[in-house]
Amino acid sequence: MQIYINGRPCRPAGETLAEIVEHFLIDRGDLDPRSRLTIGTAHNGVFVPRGQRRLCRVAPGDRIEILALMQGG
Amino acid sequence: MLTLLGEPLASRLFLGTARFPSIDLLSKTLITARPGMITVAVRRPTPGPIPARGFTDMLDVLAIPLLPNTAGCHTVQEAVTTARLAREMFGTSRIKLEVIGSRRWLEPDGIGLVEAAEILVQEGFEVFPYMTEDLAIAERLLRAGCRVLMPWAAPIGSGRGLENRTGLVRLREAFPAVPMILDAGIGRPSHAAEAMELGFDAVLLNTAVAESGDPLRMALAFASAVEAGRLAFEAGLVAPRHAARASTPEEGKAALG
Repeated sequence: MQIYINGRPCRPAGETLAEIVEHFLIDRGDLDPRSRLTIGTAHNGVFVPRGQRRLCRVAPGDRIEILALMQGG
Repeated sequence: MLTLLGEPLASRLFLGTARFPSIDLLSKTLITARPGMITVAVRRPTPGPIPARGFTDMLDVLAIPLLPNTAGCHTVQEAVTTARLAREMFGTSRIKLEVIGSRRWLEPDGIGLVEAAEILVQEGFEVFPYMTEDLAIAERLLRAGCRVLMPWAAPIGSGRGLENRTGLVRLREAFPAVPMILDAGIGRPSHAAEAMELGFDAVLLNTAVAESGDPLRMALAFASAVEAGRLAFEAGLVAPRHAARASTPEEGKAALG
């Protein structure tokens, strides 16, 4: 099964968004602790609150966004 | 002091946090200039030479009120989703709502803006809409429940100053009780002073400070300009005249000719 995380095609590291985020954060050890805690998620363009990631199951072709706080104007 | 939506703010200068040469310099600039509010964004954490590392810690330490944006959103759906993400991530219901039309000019899409504002206000957001000086759009945004307006001075990053000064004056006059923050296109401290002299409540800028030769000193220059402009507005500016009028009274002048 192939999904897209932040625009990049990949195999999902779990069945739910919560598992995918967990693996994403393991891969991204460079992110500071505060950024890791405040990661935001969207599934096929729809915001998924922190508490609902466990309930969000991924399917082939799904688009996942895992986002961080950044500088902005 | 400016109190905006019930919150007292340290300054009428609001700063964007992007494009600074380093997090360290950004941090020093914010500590020195003490802006009333700073804008922040939601983005993919791309690995590279400018990671988020240190930025989020800095936000905690400085404790300056945050205004997350929906920068780069071109549709209502994108903007609304980004706002929902930002509320959870930054822990504030304030949102600088950008729904951008033209990619070349980054001109706000007024129709999309109203539509997105209606949705977000219903969800409890405090929407700061980035808009043009269009009076009808302003009216609709207020009707949608926005309590602040953020008209542009000029296209984002252009540094051109108050391009449609007359339109901005009309907007300010049309809604005298609505807090207005002039945002985007401010390139010089004199532009900021001009906005404040016209009665705008605050100015928001980013590039003019972040990309200057010395961001820290430039931020101070803007802070001074904002303060000067506000003082002048509160003092009451003298209306310009067509012809000269001597400052020194004619009365009592000696007959020496």
